[in-house]
Amino acid sequence: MKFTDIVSPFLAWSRAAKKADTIPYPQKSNPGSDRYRGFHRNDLDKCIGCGRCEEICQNLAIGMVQVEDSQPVKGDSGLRPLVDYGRCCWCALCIDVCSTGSLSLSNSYSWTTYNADTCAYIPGTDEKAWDHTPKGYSQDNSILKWAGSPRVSMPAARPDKRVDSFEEVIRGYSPEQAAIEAARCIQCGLCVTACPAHMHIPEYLRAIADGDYAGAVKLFFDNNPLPEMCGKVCTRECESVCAMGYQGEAIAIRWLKRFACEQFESLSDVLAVDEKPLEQGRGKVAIIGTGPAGLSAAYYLSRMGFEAHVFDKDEEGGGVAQHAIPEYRLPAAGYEKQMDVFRKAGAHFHYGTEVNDADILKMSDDYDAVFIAAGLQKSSEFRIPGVELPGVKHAFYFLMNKPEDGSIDVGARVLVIGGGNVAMDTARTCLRLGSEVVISYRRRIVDMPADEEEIEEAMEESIDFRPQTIPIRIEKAGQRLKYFYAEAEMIDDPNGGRPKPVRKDDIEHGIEIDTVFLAIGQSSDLGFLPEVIAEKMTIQWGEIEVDKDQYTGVKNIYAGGDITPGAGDIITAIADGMRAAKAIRDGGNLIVNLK
Amino acid sequence: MNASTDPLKTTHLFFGPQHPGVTGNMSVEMWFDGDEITKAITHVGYLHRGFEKLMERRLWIQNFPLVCRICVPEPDINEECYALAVEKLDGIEVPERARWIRTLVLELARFAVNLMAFGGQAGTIGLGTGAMWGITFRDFVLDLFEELSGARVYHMYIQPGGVRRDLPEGFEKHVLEVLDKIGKRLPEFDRLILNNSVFKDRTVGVGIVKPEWISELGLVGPVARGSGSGRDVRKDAPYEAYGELDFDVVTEQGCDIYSRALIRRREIDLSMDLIRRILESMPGGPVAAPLPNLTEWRIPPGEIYTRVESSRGEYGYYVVSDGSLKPRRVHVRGPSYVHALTLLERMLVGANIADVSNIMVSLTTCPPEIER
Amino acid sequence: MDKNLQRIISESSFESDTIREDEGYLHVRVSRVHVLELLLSAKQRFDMETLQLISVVDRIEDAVFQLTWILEDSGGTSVFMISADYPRENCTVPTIGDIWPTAILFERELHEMYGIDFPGNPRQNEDFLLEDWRELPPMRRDFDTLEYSLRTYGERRKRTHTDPREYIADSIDEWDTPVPMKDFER
Repeated sequence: MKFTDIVSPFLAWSRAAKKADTIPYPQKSNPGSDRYRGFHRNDLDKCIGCGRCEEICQNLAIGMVQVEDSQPVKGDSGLRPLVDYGRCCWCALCIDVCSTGSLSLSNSYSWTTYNADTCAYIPGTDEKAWDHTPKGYSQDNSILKWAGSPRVSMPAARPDKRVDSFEEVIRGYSPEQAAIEAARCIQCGLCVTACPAHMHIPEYLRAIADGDYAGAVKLFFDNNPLPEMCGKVCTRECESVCAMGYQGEAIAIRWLKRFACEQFESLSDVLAVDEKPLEQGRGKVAIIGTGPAGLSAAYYLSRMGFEAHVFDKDEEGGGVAQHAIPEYRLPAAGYEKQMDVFRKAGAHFHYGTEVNDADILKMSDDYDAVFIAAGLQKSSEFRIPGVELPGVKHAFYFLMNKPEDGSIDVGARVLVIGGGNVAMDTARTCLRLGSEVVISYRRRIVDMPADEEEIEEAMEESIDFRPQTIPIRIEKAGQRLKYFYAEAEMIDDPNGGRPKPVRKDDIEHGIEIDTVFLAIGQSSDLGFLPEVIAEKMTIQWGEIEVDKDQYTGVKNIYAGGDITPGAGDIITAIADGMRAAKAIRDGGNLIVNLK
Repeated sequence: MNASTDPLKTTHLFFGPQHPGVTGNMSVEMWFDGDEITKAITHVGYLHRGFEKLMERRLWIQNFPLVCRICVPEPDINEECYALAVEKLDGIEVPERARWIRTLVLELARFAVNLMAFGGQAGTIGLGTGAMWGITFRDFVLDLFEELSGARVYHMYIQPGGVRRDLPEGFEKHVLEVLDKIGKRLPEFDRLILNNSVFKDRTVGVGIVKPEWISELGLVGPVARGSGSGRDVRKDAPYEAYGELDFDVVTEQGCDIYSRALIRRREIDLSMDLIRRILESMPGGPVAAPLPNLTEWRIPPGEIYTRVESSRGEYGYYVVSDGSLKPRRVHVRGPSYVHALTLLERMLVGANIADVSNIMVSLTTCPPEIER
Repeated sequence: MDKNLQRIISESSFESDTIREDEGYLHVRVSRVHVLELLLSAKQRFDMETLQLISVVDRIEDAVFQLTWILEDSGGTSVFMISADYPRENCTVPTIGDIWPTAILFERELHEMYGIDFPGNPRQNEDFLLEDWRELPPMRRDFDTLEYSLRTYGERRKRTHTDPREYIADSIDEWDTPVPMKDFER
């Protein structure tokens, strides 16, 4: 035994004279570190109640609960997470997956309750001392990307190639791509709050992810008899509220709908519409217009056992949605596949039948209900000097006349005035016809009412955008036309409205063009309404006011689609048609005929 | 009734499950004749929480906050084993920086455990000061973990695909500060424990692990290395960044408790050296690979056995996927499984009753990893 | 070391499927009649001296238990794993406790957790983790943990919970579709 081994342990006594390493808690506070995982906080302004935190919680510590009398609104389920600290294990998975990043953990770790059952609260709603502490564990989606990821990019034709033809720009997903994209869905259902038709989006995305395409198609037809059209050109309100869109990109709901429809040659076979025995003789309904609203009403009424008669002045149906949208976005080839469903469902189509006021009066007698879905027929007028010149045309009529075959000569340089979808469609159609295209719009590009995607694609195709330009006049310049405009600057509206374009200076810019297209909106033509009916309706700005059942207030007469106030898109029209069908089902037989 | 348990000749005693001398909650049922143990049986089951069964009912991602709870002093090895298994089964490529950060975390954890275990070894023979110091030093490292991961004990930091957060600002500096602080105190620690005649008397030549047992029983870690073996997964089958770090495996030839304590003491030095070198060569870049939608994350069918070196030796996970959202089977193989049962039962026969906890701690038996 | 691993199976006289192969890692599946032979030859001729673990996967859909023996060489550099399927009903597997003493322990766990019988294992009937367990062996796939827990410990305080998807669907009357096309569970 060494002598030093006996002595050396005693050197530890020297510690007695030194400062202790321990912290004298609670006399001295010991706050958690900057990243400490303590009690939850929830930023209620950001929380959308998607329930992702609850879904990922492995201990069932989080439960979504109703806060007061909250109801779902567009993009918010109204529910908020309640955290039970008798179960929480502080793993912070809920933080890292929170789709909006509203949930975070504070660095507070001390809270006492006298009963384990009350050791729970709704972060954000129940006020806590740590609600406003800046420190703690919060989401960093740039590292993990668990709260939102990029979508599977859609294969599309290259901009320099696609302008040569009217071939469809979007190529469609492959089954593998679709499965990956559909599996990104977190099944929160917020999209349903935004969809005018309240389609069963989470359910059909799950079906697509599982490879059950027929099941997905059946789910489409629950609330939407035109899924293929919507799969191509829907305004996709659903994607605008997608929980995955806050930190990443929204699920490509529209493209997945399109994908599922593309998997089948015939949709009527999938649905077995003609095999299903129908209840007969529930009544007769006249539908005016074969646009999305009319078709939707016709489909549901026929399937419910009504005799649906659809009238259209055109030689073929489909309405503005089918005819005004150019080939490269919505190929006409898909039209027949959809009409097949309606015919097999038992709807009667009367094409080339112009309905006038006398007909309407007669219909209200002969039919149990009339659904007016005539849509917008007229292109809005625009008043600047020179609009009467021969080279100045209405874009809407141009598109309706199927310009894809090249039968309309538009010249070498085309000007489109407007910033909506009609303007974009016209511009891109003219580009494909070989013209150089200029778009003149009064406000900024972000203010354009056209789909963002349309604008982007138009830009990719090198269309000359001239935003913030105020049209002054059009003059004749030899064989061509000359368009004069002034530059504008945006002035904020003191009343809180959107900024207004105001002419910046006195300088007039002029460009030479061959054709001017006016694309500043469409309006309805209610000339076919008999006076005796029209005077009982509320008509404002050329649109028929209806209640939530699409009921016009005139017995037996319902209206829907663009002829009624609303978003003016396809899916709203489809929802209108379905609502009218439901209202006719519920009350149609009881209504006493108007006399 | 055989001689070793003859009630007329032997005393029958339960040691544990609640006893300060026992590591965790397990008990040793002993029969002894005078001071000498004639037979010992280890009883476990007091910490059985059914982790393996739970994991079969949880999503792949939900398991990574769960597995760390299998080991309190060194949770990161569980996270690492699980993450390695999932990554290999799903073919996930872990970013370079994440691999280095993981190595840093694993080494810091080993450093913390060895500080506590080295001091704890002294604690079992009544040298309480050593145990306290060990725990204090470990606490400095826990402060670092709190800063890095947001939690002191269950870090839940190493996740399949990488790590959850990048190193916080100034973290490297804080690590070096802690290393310096502890490094300065280590000579004092040595004087208290290693150069202590009491400690030497109680540990040298006590608790012999014969070298031939190593292969026979599959002994690993400090227990094997204290008996001359060079087994160390960090060297034998390098994972993460260990392949790029050059170091010598620490071995001792004494086969006794003192050798194992010495191994832990030398491991502390090795860890400090490795941590410094890891910080020096830390690459830049992302720290996590992208994962699919976590609630729809399916892993292709497959089976894998992953192993890492914990402070107690080789730690393995056998993970089976059947292509569903949840693991089919996760089998955790901790080093204590054999150390605390087969080896301990064998070592205790003939040992003095006063040395039981001393021997047990020298094996750092950890019941949670036996019971899962 | 990989060559050594390859030789274990290439020099055996029977068929084997490779489940996974890697640097210093080989996992094979063999018929259960060859398991003992392969284990012995791996230990005696190829330096696979250490038995690390015996594990079981309950493949209830195929009515088999897949047993896996995990071996390591004395240096710890390579892993050799052998898997074989055994019928699930009255599952009996030969013990290897006389080859590796640790197997007695591993088999004891499997006996308790899966009810697999290892005839010849002297300690397999000792309680390992569970005391007086009279239920179905708990690690079997058909053992319902939730049902057991409710029956034994009773239900914990009710948890408040509303599913956002159902809440949205109900409040906007989404399911009132005129012609439901697909029946599915909500």
